[in-house]
Amino acid sequence: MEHGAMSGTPPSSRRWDAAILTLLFSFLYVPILIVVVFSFNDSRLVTVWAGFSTRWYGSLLSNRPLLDAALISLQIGLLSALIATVLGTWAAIVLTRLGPFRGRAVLGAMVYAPLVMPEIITGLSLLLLFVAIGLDRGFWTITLAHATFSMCFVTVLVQARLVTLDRSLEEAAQDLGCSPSAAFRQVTLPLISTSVAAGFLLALTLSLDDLVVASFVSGPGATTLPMRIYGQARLGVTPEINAICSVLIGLVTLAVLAASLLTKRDFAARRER
Amino acid sequence: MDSERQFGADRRPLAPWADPAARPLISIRNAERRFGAVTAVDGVSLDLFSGEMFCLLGPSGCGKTTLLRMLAGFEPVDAGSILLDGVDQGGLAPHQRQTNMMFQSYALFPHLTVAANIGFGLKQQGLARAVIRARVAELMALVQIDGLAERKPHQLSGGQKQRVALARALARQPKVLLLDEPMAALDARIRAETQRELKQIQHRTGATFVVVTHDQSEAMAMADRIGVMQGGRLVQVGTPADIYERPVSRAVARFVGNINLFEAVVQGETADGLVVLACPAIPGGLSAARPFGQLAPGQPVAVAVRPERMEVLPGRLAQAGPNMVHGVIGAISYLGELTVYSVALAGGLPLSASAVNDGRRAVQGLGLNAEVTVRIDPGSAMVLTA
Ligand SMILES: Nc1ncnc2c1ncn2[C@@H]1O[C@H](COP(=O)(O)OP(=O)(O)OP(=O)(O)O)[C@@H](O)[C@H]1O
Ligand SMILES: [Mg+2]
Repeated sequence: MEHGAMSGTPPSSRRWDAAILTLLFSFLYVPILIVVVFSFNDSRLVTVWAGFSTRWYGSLLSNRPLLDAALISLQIGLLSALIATVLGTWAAIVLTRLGPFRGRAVLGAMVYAPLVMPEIITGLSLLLLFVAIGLDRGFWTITLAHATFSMCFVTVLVQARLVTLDRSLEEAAQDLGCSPSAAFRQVTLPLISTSVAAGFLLALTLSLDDLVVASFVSGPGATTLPMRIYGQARLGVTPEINAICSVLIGLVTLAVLAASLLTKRDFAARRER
Repeated sequence: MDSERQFGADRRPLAPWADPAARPLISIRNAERRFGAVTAVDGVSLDLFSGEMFCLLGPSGCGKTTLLRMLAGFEPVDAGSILLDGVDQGGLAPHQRQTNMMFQSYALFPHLTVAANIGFGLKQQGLARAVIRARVAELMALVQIDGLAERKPHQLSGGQKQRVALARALARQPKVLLLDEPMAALDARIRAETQRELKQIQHRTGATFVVVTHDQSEAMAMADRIGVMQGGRLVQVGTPADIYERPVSRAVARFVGNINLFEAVVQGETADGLVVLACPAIPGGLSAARPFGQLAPGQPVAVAVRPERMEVLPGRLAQAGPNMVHGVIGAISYLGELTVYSVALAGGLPLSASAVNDGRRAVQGLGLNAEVTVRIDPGSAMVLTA
């Protein structure tokens, strides 16, 4: 090779790096961008640009079925995220604090399993469970299903924070007159609160965009927003769908951004110490 | 050194532990704590009295922290009992006890300010906010950290954190304050100063302090009494002078201060209360102070002599009688106030002897490799049977 190759990365390789990155990010974000751009399209035809307009956002407000689905999704999202946060945090505390007991390692590993479980299996197994115990499918089954799989994410997040906490903090609180539960409320909870909040936001977004699990466990009365969008898109994509999707993208982006900001601030504060 | 001795002088002369009628504040009776196969605290019995400064001294892993945590209520008592003011503490959780603890890691609450940290225990008592504020200000003055009230723990130096932790532990006016290695994270210079201050604070508050340390000089400097722990057992309890002058075993003697140990065999006793011993390291024979216990002729024992109780004389004295031994100076350490001579005895055994550098006595003939005679004061040679 020429002597240029000796000093640092050759220019040709750098060009390759840039090309691959461009390709990767295009793949990820161009489709999303298309949805957002065409949600402002004045034409009824999705693929033909006819000028800028916000009329589809206006007509969203009069699309009753879509609005109903959005409301249900929001309710399920908030409720399931709440359940997942409480149970997930609880599980994280038990797993980190209860010291060694039989099967602890297995239990710890089992928390991670649902993270990589194919959704179709989660959906199917939950469906079978609900049928077996005779639960009417609908709003509550979707909520329970969402709480079940997003709980693991909360546990993993909160556990990561808990293991960095000095055990003697809680002991010091008890020594100074707190009952164990008061010590948890006054010392541990404030210190893990950002992780808990991040877990809640993550659970909310997971619920908002789930299609597979919801399709399995929903009944006649409950159609979530992703289910409604999917149903309509099969009949042909309308600009209205682009609009509702753009709203959803905005919401999810906000939640994820907030969650990552929370954890980042938390880490920065701890590094200062 | 000097100021410490002065401080020692204004200590209360009263010694409740020597008074059989005195009622102990804490009674630890045969307390035991096991972790699986490890017995961390093994049959410890100890009486602690109101207002005393007690140091738990021992090597790493001997069970000091575990015993302290048993007093605080963080570790259960597997066997035996702990009484405070005559009340069994067995069923009491940490927040129900009249003890407070200063943790080795300080365990300051990172989300609370210094003032809120110190006031934390008072808030739990449900005191009015104004009362808490006044008490916190008082405590901050006591440990000399005025002006730091609004700081968060991560904005404090190590020494300041230590003071906040101390103030927080004192806030509820505990009868007993438990301190786990309170000086471990401080550098040597402020450590000596902090030891003095801690002693003063203990005087002023009148609380019983139980201080864990593995630094024997720290224990000597602060304690009214020292408890030496080894392998989970409390092997000796006594005043610093007791521990230094009358250690009960070779292990205690070795752990507290520098010491020379010689293996010896009892031969008999003299009329003036000395034990006569045959000692391979000291061919001329050795006489030592009589210990409390019974000695039988032929019994193997150890003789312990502190370096400062030996006299190094220049030259090979012709009549090396009892308590005299010849050797060669192998090393000299000049420590300012002292000079320590490492002397190799005829049999090859090392011995260390120290002399005060008083500046008046010019020491002749005590250079490296000089022939010397070491004289051992019989009254300061201790016979150890264990
Ligand atoms: N929670 C525990 N589980 C199992 N073993 C323990 C536990 N706590 C302490 N031990 C063991 O008990 C023994 C005494 O420990 P402890 O912490 O009381 O020692 P220490 O004297 O405080 O030592 P150091 O000076 O190093 O702090 C050690 O052998 C330790 O390994
Ligand atoms: Mg310890």
